[in-house]
Amino acid sequence: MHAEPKVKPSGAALIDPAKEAMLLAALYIAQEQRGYLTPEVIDRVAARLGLTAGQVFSTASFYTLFRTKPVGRYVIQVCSGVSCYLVDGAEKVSDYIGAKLGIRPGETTADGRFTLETVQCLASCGTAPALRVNDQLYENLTPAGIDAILDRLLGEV
Amino acid sequence: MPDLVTLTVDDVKVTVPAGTLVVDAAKAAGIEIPIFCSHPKLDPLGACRMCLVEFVGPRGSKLDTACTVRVSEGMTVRTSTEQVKAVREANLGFILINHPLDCPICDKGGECPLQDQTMAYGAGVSQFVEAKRQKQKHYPISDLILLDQERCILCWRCIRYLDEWEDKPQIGLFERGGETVIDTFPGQPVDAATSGNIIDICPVGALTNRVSRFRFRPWELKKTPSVCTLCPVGCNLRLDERVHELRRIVARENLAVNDEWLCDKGRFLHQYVDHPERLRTPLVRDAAGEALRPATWDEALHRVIEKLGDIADTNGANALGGIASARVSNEAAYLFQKFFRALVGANNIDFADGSAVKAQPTGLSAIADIAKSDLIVLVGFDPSEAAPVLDLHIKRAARRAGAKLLVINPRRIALAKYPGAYLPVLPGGEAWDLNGLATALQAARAANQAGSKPAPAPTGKAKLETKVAVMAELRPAYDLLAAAKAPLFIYGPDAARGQLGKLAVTALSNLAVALGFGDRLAYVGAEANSQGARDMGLLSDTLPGHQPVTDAAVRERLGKLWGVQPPAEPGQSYAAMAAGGVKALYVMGANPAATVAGAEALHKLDFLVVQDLFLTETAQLADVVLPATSFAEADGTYTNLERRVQRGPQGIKPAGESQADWAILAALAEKWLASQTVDTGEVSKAIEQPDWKKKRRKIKAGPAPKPWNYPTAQAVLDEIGKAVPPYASLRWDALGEAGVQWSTSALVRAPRRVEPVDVAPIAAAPAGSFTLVSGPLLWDNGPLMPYGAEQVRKLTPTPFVALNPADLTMAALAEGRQVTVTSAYGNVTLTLKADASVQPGTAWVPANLAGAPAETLGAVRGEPVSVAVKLV
Amino acid sequence: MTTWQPVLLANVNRPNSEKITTYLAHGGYEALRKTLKMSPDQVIAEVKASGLRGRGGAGFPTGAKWGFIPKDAPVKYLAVNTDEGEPGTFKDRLIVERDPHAILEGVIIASYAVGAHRAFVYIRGEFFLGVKRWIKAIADAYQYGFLGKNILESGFDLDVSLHRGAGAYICGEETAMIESLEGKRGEPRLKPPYPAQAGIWGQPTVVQNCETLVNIPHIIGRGAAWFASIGTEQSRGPKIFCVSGHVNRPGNYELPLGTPLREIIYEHAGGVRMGRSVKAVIPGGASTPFLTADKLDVPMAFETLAAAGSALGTGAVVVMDETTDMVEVARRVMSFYVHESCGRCVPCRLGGHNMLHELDIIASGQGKRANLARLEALTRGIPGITFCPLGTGMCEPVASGLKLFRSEFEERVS
Repeated sequence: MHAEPKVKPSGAALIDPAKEAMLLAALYIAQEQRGYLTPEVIDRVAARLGLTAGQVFSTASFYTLFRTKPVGRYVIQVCSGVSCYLVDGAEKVSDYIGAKLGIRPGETTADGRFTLETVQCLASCGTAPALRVNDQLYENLTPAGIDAILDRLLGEV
Repeated sequence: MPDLVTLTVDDVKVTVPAGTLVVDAAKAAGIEIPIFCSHPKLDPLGACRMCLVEFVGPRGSKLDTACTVRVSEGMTVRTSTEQVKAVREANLGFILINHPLDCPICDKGGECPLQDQTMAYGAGVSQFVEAKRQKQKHYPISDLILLDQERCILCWRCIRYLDEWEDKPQIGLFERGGETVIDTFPGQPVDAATSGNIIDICPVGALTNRVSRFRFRPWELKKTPSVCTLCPVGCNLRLDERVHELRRIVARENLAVNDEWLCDKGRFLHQYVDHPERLRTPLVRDAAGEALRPATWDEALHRVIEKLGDIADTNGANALGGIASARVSNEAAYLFQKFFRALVGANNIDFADGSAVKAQPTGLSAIADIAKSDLIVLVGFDPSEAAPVLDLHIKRAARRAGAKLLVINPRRIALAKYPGAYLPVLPGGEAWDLNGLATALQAARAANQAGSKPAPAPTGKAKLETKVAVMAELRPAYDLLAAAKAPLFIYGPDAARGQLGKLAVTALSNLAVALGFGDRLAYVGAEANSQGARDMGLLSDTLPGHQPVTDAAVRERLGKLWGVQPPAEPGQSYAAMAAGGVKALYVMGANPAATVAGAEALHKLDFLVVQDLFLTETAQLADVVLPATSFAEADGTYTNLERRVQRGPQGIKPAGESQADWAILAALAEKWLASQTVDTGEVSKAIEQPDWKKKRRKIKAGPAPKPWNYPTAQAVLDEIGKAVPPYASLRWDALGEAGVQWSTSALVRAPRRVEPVDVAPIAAAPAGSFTLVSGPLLWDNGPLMPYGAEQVRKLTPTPFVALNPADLTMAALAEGRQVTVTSAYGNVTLTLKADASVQPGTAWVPANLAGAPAETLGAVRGEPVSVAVKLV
Repeated sequence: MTTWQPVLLANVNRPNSEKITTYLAHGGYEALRKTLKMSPDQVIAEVKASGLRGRGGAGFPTGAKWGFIPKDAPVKYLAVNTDEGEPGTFKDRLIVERDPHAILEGVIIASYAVGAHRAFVYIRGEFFLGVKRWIKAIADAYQYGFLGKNILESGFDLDVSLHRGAGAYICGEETAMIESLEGKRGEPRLKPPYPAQAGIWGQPTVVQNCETLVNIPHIIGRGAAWFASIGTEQSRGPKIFCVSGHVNRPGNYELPLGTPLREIIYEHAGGVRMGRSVKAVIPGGASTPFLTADKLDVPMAFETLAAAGSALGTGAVVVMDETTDMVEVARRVMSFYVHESCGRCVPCRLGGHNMLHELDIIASGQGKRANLARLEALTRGIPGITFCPLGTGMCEPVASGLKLFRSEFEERVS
């Protein structure tokens, strides 16, 4: 038996016919470093992959996970899918959070800590209602559970 | 798969080649299927869904897009069923709901496919009352084009054009779904050299022409099919005139030449035709030091013949010379050389890059051959700057047909990025490399042929080895050439000037011959009618029809046509005349005084006549200035780089009293003839005395020139048919709207012979200095550019010199600084740029920038020039 | 009540289920060992004989799909679709997070069968945990010799790379997924050519949903006859049903195809909350038409659901009780599709936008009869004329809502 793997056999380890195939991965890395995709970041990614900035932006703007504008430290994404709606999630959750934070979906708190968004189905229909804060998923939400999440985040900031 | 497929479209049986799209098959059957996104010159997309038609199959009918489905045998298509009509109505409805109703202020209104299709296929009533979506309206995406996102219907034609033809994906789809828009990335405007084509192919008014915006309504225009005279491709275009102004130029389809494309220079540089500074009357200068003053045509022409006559009488015919441009029509070029040869009696006629360049007489075999070539060799020729539509064809061949490119050029031109090889050379050094390649290929070929026989001759083998050894850096080029099955060789003036250029052309010809493709070698000149000018004999050593002046039989034939034979002695070249080799100079459309040195030489002339559109530097020095028309204002024919003779009919009233070049020459000849008395050995006849000055020319002995009788340009073309054998059948009517290639069979054979070339390598510039490299720039400051629209003029860069970034670093120079560039011929002050396409050790100064810096430094002399670059 | 011992989800509730050691401890990769002793043609024949149909929504026979891959093509690819995004569907996420090796074993077997030496896993960008689990699973498989050169000394080579999507439902469409894999906007391609002819970088490509692939090791391991004995005539094998909405025990339930909808709702998912009655069910994900309460006895299979006027789709059952506002459900589903339309074709981009606009007006109570009429016209006009199935699918819930619950719409307009 072998020990823990030392190689990282993600796509980067394999040669693809076109550097362009690395574009989404490159955008993720750039976004992680800068928080969002600034024009300068897009230019740099384009140069690295032999694309035009327009091509990079065209692809980036197609996908909802790539951001071309700054967002808060915590991005709260409330699922607005049909299953969440059916079990008192969706707008009820986003309205509740919005009232607590004083923002509406699409807005960021003045202190830059929270951005509130409503998003399409998070594939948590069996554990609805659901929301996500950055890359952490929260399911089976209740008002008390939401309070706990927000309190913890407020404490962390 | 059979080559032909028969299908039924709405009960019409039609047979088309396999692989045809249903939309095109229907068109062949006379049935129009409405389209927005589909375009015959772009890859299928299937986005607009307008062309949905019913395909009838064994299991019932189904809807599919006629623009994406290819024909198959026995296919049955229905294009006007109730279902199809309903779909069209629905699709138009979707588009119109979000399309602004600003047709009254939209340039496309009146020639808009969306309007037309709404009339033809729309519901007739609007169902929707809600507010339309708002997007960004009319903002520039380049100096030349405006984008209106509200009008855009996302057909992707512009995106696909820039990607598929230009390989410059500068317009993209941004965002997604209903938010999707087309746009450019901030700070990166569209700069493709043929970007204006996206305006023509836009099916709505989303992309509009900034130069022509709001200057016309399509239905008010008088439209004249013509050709472009800004480069030798000869793209077909249409002149759109209204109240005696050229409002717009659009592309006109000619599948053999330009498909339906036009470069931005051809499309947008037309306001010079209506420019207020156009010369509108003749001008004369009564005495040195006095200003030019307006004159009548009669006075100006008499002044010309009087002075030319005086100088000829005193100093002989060879004291007179003519410099023309190769921009003018065949008719003008022909009469110009005839005036000098038949009336003045001298061969002193030439144009820039005329006799100084060793040109293949036959041009390109056909533009269509580019797509059929597996290797395109470009020597001293940069199509991206010199001939953008040819550049499109070459890029297409490289990307779609797998053609390799072998670029031999002092600068890494844009096309060098495609598969193949780039061989850097110093200017004038082409011959050395080409000769090396030719010799090695000949030797290899000889060795191959000898292979089937006993042992090859030892000398040949030894020679091959030494050559191959020498050629390490030539190896990639050699391998490409050796593997080529259908190569095409194109060279331009930058590799062909002067003695070194002649050697390079000989070596290139040897190379083509060694590969067995001597007939696939083409010269492409700088000016639009370079080919025609050569065909017409606008050269000091060559008569009409590419015959040397030394050929007695040809002189005799022309003598019968003209009444007098042309002189047997070659005349003076452009350089010799411009340097003061003559006492009187007639300049038609050229500007030798653009450089200070050129102007100084012209100062020494006894008499200077300039015939042009504008008061050029040369015209400012003239004793008589004759106002000529532009290509748009007079009939004329032009011969493009593939020997296609094309009509350029008059599309607009001439500016002021300006006259066609050929007509001015005809009028001048008439007066010249009238003032001459010729003793023909029969009856002396003096037809007319110039009444404003009683002066008789001395009686000349010999045959009398025949009278010039050209009521129209077509009459001149008729005579060209007699003087230039390959033009014999090319009458105005026969040319039609697509032009006709003249046949090489009547004229010349492809080179078959290998001529020895004795050449030495070119030395690099001494340390601390650079070898000057020049060449064409699309947006230069050429003769007409200063008179274009503001948006067009902006495209010309401030005069600059570019060095390789490494050289810049080494010399501790910074980009953007002003530098003095000095050569043995002069010095100029320029802005310094860094450019990786410029090879180390060389300095790039494009031709025809403001103040003619490259020309001042001696760039067009056909010899290596070293320059020093110093901070000001 | 059907008693079914889960096969596909057998591992998911085990502790450390995602680990390769757990997978191996429960018979993992045994089917691969068996596969590598068979010829690729035998593997394809076995899959064909099993009657397996794709679980991604379209239900295309898997063995036939593999058979389309040209044998003589020098380069072939396999692509795995874990871009689950259809509202109501949450099965792929569960497998990726809890049992990634079950998919990976299917990937290797499928690659072996079609002769692919490179497989691409495309995962929905939002599946943060799934991404981590996939990376770890692939790395471990390399370490254990299930991936890489000469897999298990068989001479078969396979490399697998992971590609993360970034929030675009349309990338679940196979050609859009390929575009996205290549680093482009996820817009569907013109077909033909189909991926089997020209997929990723123009090479023949098999695209499979991850649930489909999870079935493969079991078909090889237990035999096609075993698999074919489960389910109905045209719908063989087990299926994961994602049950959500107004039920007491929402969740993933693995059951044989053909299990009646009523049984799934009332016996497995614990019935409707608060003892209410069912008003409507979405049986196969948001793009499948509603079923009304009178259709609850329909067996959950491709052919029976089609006969009932809906579709099996992804097997995502969304249950709505008698209190549900059907106009709002229709509007919400519509808003999802409008948001996810790629924007390429006119009827989907603009027609969809118009439909949502009308629905917004109707749902707000401001609508007139004309709005309803226009909405209805749109649901009839758009299907069948869009570039890809998304545009057609977006009309289904609204069309069936209008058909089955018309009075609720009419009550909203004046």
